[in-house]
Amino acid sequence: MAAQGAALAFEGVSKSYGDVLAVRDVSFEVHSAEVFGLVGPNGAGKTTLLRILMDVLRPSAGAVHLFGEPLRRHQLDRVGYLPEERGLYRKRRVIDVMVYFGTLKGLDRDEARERARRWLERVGLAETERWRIERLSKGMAQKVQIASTLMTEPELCVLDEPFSGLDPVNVRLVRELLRERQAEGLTTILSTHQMDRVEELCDRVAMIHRGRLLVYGPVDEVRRAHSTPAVRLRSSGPPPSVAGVLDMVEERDGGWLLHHDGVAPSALLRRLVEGGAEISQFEEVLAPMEEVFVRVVEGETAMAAAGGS
Amino acid sequence: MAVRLGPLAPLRALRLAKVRAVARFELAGMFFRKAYLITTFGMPVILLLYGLLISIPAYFASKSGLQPQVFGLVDLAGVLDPDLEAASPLDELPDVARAALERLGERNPAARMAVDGPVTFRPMASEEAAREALRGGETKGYFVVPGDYLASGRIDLVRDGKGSPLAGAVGGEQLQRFLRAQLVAGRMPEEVAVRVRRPVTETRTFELDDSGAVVPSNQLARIVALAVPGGVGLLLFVSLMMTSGYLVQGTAEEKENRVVEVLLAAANPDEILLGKLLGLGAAGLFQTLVWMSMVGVAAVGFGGVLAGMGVALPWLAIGLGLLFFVAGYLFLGSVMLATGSLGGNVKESQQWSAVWTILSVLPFVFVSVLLVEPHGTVGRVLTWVPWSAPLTVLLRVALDPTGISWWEIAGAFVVLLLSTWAALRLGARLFRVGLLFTGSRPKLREILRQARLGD
Repeated sequence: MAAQGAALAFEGVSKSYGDVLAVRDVSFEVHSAEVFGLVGPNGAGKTTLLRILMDVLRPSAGAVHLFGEPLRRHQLDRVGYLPEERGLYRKRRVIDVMVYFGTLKGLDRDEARERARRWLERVGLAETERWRIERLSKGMAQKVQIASTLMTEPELCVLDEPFSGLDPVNVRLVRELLRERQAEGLTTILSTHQMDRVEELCDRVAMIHRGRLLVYGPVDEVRRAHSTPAVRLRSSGPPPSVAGVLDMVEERDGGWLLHHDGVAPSALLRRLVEGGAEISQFEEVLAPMEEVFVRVVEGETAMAAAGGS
Repeated sequence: MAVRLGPLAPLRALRLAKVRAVARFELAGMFFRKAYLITTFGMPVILLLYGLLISIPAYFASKSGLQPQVFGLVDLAGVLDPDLEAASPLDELPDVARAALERLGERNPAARMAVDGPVTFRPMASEEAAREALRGGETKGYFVVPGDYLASGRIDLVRDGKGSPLAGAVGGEQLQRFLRAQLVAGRMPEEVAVRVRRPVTETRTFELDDSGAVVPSNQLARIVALAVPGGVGLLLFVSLMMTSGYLVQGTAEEKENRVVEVLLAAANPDEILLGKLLGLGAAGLFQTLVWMSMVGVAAVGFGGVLAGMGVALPWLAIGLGLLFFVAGYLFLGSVMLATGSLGGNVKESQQWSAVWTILSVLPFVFVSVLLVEPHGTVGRVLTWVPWSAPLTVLLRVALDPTGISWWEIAGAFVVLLLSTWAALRLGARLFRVGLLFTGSRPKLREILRQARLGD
């Protein structure tokens, strides 16, 4: 049963294509008003999971709960979906395509048209309203797709690689849009290979590899779990040697990297101050998500090889 | 565990707003297609231009045909009276055709129909003189009636070897009549001679009606009764094929453009399939209506003529045809859409769906059999095949409404409706399956498995 406040819950979901098991007994929840990262290497099963969520595919086993109820088609009008493999009708006008997608999601035509115009303006493409899609650049088309997905203001929005093909300016724009959604209490699932985006935007993360859920939890906890315990600090002189500190390394910029035995960072800070250190900057050092990703994937691959599978 | 909801569950689950959205988008999309607009509004103009184009050579041919053709005649047998006129074929036009043409305002229709044109035979004193006249271009050729003509019946024709091989053939036909008139003149009573020259002046045709009574046969009415529904059927068929083609093309493009996953996430396959069928079907219907209204304008002009000849339009055949074609469109559209969605690109999709096109044109393949024996084995079998039912039923009813029983029509229609339902259901599944197969071509076993599972 899905927990209270969960916008989405996968419960023991499996999916097979013939003899190939694409997703194996996957369970996780996405909380309301969070940005949730769904990551994994190519072919891990992410798209299959998202297609199951969107009722494009049916699970072979398990259940999906959406907004606290078993998944039903009619609920999907409250879900926006930007698939990784996406496109537009090349010969049609931008506004017509957006209105079409809006009406398919339950908006009436007038409202869809009004929202399409508003969102085109929001993404800086107001002048393209009457253009045919084929006239748009790749980046512009990408923004039209994102605007088409977000214009229905879905309670849950699934974005599969939304940053691909965008220049830095537009990456920033999409980042802002996601933050706005979060501020409005709307939920977003972000499926991406770009781990820096996960670190930057996601509250929690699920990592899938070979159809199995390997890592799941708050981003910081996941990073901590896969990090060698360490803190970075700046102080007026070399930090004192206190209990729990294993070694100290002076960095090139004058800061210090302290590896420790896993003591809570706040407790370590207290000990350092009590030991006489004058600290101007103190932060916990966590492994970047990219490193976590590589470690998990390589570890799983090695285990699979050792197991003969 | 699969839950069985009954055969009408998909119908109840349909969200009409989504069906309407898809239908509206598809319909609007058709009005963006140049090919559709050109075909819809330009087809009658193209046909008119085509008609004009092919009538130009016919016009010049008839003009040249009306020019008097002069043939030399060398009578070595001495049996002919050179002062006699050539027998004219102008009064040999059938009365029915003459009446129809006169009602259409054609004056002296016999003259217009006598495309052989008048032939003049110029008596020549000798073969040398005839040869000189031919060489000088004064004649088209010359006939030599040899001395033993009465015994042998042989005639020699000499023509210019440089011209068309058909030139001069006309003269032979005319000479037959000319000789017949010459031979009987003065040798028998005039009323017999008239019949020898022209044994039959009119053939009246009668037929048995339903009560067994002999009534005059209206051949023109029979021809119109076949031609009108045949023409309507052809228009419907062309429109059906074109619309189905657009269905396949549009779906394949959606697959190529990667729009399809967005669609499937927003509406279920039944809604998308039905929306497409209705949207493009409306476009096809509009196209047919445009064509038929243009034909209708012409029909108003001909209406008085047809009514005057006791010709009634076969509304039963036309009405049944429309009904069958609407159901036929839904059926064919579903199977074409489903199989078309299995292709990796537009070309491949068209190849997949071509199989159904071949089945649909079966009535045209067997048209010669159907025209002679509309209610024979071929006609009966094609009536029950959903692909060929619309055109076959229309043709059979048009050719002989009494030869097809009501249960056969109703049964064929029920089979077509059931097939349409099955095609819609299977089509929706294949549509979903096919659209998710990108890149590689799916194997038949995999298609069937996915279609069975519906996942």
